[in-house]
Amino acid sequence: MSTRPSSVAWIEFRSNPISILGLVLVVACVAAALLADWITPYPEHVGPIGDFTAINQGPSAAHWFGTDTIGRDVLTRIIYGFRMSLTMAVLVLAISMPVGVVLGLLAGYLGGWVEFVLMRLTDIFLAIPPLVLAMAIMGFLPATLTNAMLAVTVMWWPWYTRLVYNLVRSEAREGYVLAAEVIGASAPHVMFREILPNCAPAILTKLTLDVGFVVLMVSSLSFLGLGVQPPTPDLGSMVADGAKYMPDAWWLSVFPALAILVLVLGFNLLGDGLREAFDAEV
Amino acid sequence: MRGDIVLRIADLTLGFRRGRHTAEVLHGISLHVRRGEKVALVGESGSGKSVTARLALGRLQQEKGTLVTGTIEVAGIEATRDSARIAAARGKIVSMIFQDPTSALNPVFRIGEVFNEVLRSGGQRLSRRAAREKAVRALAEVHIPDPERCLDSYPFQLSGGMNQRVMIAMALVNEPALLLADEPGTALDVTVQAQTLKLMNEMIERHGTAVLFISHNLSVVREFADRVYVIYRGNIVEHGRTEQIFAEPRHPYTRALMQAAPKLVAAGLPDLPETSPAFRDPLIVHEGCGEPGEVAA
Amino acid sequence: MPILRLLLRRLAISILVLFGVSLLIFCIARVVPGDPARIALGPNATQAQVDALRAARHLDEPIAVQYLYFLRDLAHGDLGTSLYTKRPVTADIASYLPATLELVLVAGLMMIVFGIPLGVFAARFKGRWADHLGRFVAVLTVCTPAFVWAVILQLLFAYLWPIFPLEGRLPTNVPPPPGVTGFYLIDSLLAGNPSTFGLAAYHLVLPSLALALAGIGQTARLTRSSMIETYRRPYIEMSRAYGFAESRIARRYAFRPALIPTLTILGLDFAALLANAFLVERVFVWSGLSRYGVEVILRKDLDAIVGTVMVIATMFLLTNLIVDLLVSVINPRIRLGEGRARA
Repeated sequence: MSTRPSSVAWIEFRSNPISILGLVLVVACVAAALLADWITPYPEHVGPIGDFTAINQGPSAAHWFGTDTIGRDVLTRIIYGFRMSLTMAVLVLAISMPVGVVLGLLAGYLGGWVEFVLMRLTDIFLAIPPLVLAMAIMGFLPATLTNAMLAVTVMWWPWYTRLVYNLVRSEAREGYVLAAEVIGASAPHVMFREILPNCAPAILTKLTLDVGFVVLMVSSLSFLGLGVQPPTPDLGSMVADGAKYMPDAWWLSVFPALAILVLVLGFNLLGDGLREAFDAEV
Repeated sequence: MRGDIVLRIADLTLGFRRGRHTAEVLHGISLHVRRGEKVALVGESGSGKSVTARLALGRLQQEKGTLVTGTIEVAGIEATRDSARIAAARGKIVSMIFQDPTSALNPVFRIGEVFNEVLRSGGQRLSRRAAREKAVRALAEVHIPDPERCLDSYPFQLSGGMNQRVMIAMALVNEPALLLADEPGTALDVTVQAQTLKLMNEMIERHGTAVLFISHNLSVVREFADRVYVIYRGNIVEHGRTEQIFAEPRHPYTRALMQAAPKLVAAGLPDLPETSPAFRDPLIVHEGCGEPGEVAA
Repeated sequence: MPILRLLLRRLAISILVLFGVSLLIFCIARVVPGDPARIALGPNATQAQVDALRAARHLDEPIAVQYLYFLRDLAHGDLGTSLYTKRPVTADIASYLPATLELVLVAGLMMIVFGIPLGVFAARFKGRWADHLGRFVAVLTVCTPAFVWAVILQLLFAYLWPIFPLEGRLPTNVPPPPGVTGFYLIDSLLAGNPSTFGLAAYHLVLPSLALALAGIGQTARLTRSSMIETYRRPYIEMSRAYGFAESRIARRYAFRPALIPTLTILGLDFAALLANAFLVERVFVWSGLSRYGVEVILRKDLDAIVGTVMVIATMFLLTNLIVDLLVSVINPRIRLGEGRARA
């Protein structure tokens, strides 16, 4: 068998229609978010000003997803909502992932009291159900976008620590680690150059799935009024605001809800596809 | 007439289809095992010997993308295509012993519970007490010191050697006509493996079972088998009685194997470092051997 | 007995963790900028009132001292007083917790009763269309936030086809049964009131379903992949080689070992239930802890927030303990003392 490992994973990924669907959805959502200024029909509706002559209208040719209570185009706000959600997810993960991974490496490899302290700290954070912890943190801070992101970042890192910790504990006894230690490689070298690359598939899979989950978390916070504040468009708050007008102005809630679903679904399918592809390699 | 043919394989090919490619694993092999005989199938890893055993059980045929042609007959039951009859025969007419006995036993069930299920699949409708008695007797037969306690234990509480005996007892309790042994004892240490083989010999002689024995360990084959088939990359390359093969290996591949395998230590076959086109020479059959229905060489 | 020792050890760690949680929340609460007393009393209160509150709550003392006060009160079962309801936090929690627990427990039951069989079924027919369909539906349920399910279910089954009630634990004209446990289902039976029982159950359907849906999908997926992994094991190959009936393998010989990793993660999914209850209770106007929690957070009611979080964390840790207990029942290695499981 002379196939390079990464090609095995790619073939497996490519042959799974569900994974491809996930990839397509993700690319579509990301593209929409990036190109929001150009592809939205009413980019001026992002703020608090709408078209007062077109309040609460159902889906029509002019407004595909209808308009809200102050005449803003729902489709436009949804696309900007994508941008908001994805940006937040990227920022949250860009901080929490490295922090979590490093702590997990340290705890798993160094052992001793470092392990004890770090893992107990992780346990403490994980002892509180995720949303509750984020809510609790938000409870003590003014409800702004930045603070919401801060809250989610603070509660997200332990998941990576625990993941990497478990991986390191099982990898630490593998041959390649012992070999590196025997030739006198330093601890940081072993951790970051030897063990970490072997954890990469699992971390990458989790990262992909997490984009979806962070979006869910933030939209849940917004639904409760603890996240993004008006007039910034956010999918969760749009559902919350629209829920009051159910079932008459159903488009106010349904379309943002579907948008959340599509976004999260895309990342979820992609993440699952990655996991199966990496498993096939083993 | 030396005994009925219990396993007959003729011109068996096996391919796995994945997407547009088909990987051919077996290129038309033929072998047979008669009642009371112990026949070995010897080859390196990847030679196709394990899939042959699975096919004889009727286990691979139903998987998606498996292409099988040729004939497999187990005690007269046609097994080439997936059929209910060969499925029903499993555990009753044909049974199997696995490489690693401890992992082949379900870790969350006691030995006794698994034994009950084995008896049940063997078609025996026994009361709980009768089933337990039968299991106790089977375990005693394989020289397990405290059968009752063994039945109440979990596999992780017993040693590898004990689990191997349990496995042998289970395999033979329903008096199958054919026993397939996939590298028996390979996962155990050498002394335990030797005891296991002795036990197997004893049991088989007592029950008159036919055995097809997959192995990559030449010294074990030499001690245990009546006849040997040598398989190389999905083709049988040499076939003869044990004495014939070991005294006078004729096929280039067989000769290379004999030379490569260490003589003193009962180790397995190494994968040969070099291949030679001579390894693809046609089948050599020793005198007095040959498939039923063919003219012997 | 090894299992008892295991339990005690877990209990000890859990208590340690709970202390850590209290410390964490406590620090977050006190470290944040702004004057909690001012925030609580609002901009119209006089400075004297704010100062009085600060003194009463020891807010001017160093954090370590404040924490000691907190611990002392905790030892007496006192979680402080809510600035919102003006009642002791413990009383608030006691009156609202059962509603949430009832909802969460029913949802958890649904997760197990629907999720696990679906997963077993999908694993057995892996690769066929039923499996693909099931997986797709499961992914959909996992990807949809609980509040969306709540809104959809409410719209479909309480508005458009009014089969189920819109909100609340009971109809407005029906008095709740005398409070023994706080669980309407249990209390109504204890009071010998079957019609109230029926109504309470009726009101529970939509909210618990909304809460459970994501969990059912997740449980089904988990069970499915665990079963598939188990099917690859040598002892399943052995079962098939010996002719065990396929249905028996699915229900028994593959199921039991597969349950072990599933159960462990189920405990974590319970955390999701506790968290998502906040969202569902909002939609269905459920008088539970979650609504109280949200109100209290929006009002920055320090003691109440700390108390609520502590209670939720305790429940979560307790659930994990129970799950571990169940796992050890199934896994003989843990029960009979051989360290970590490797089924």
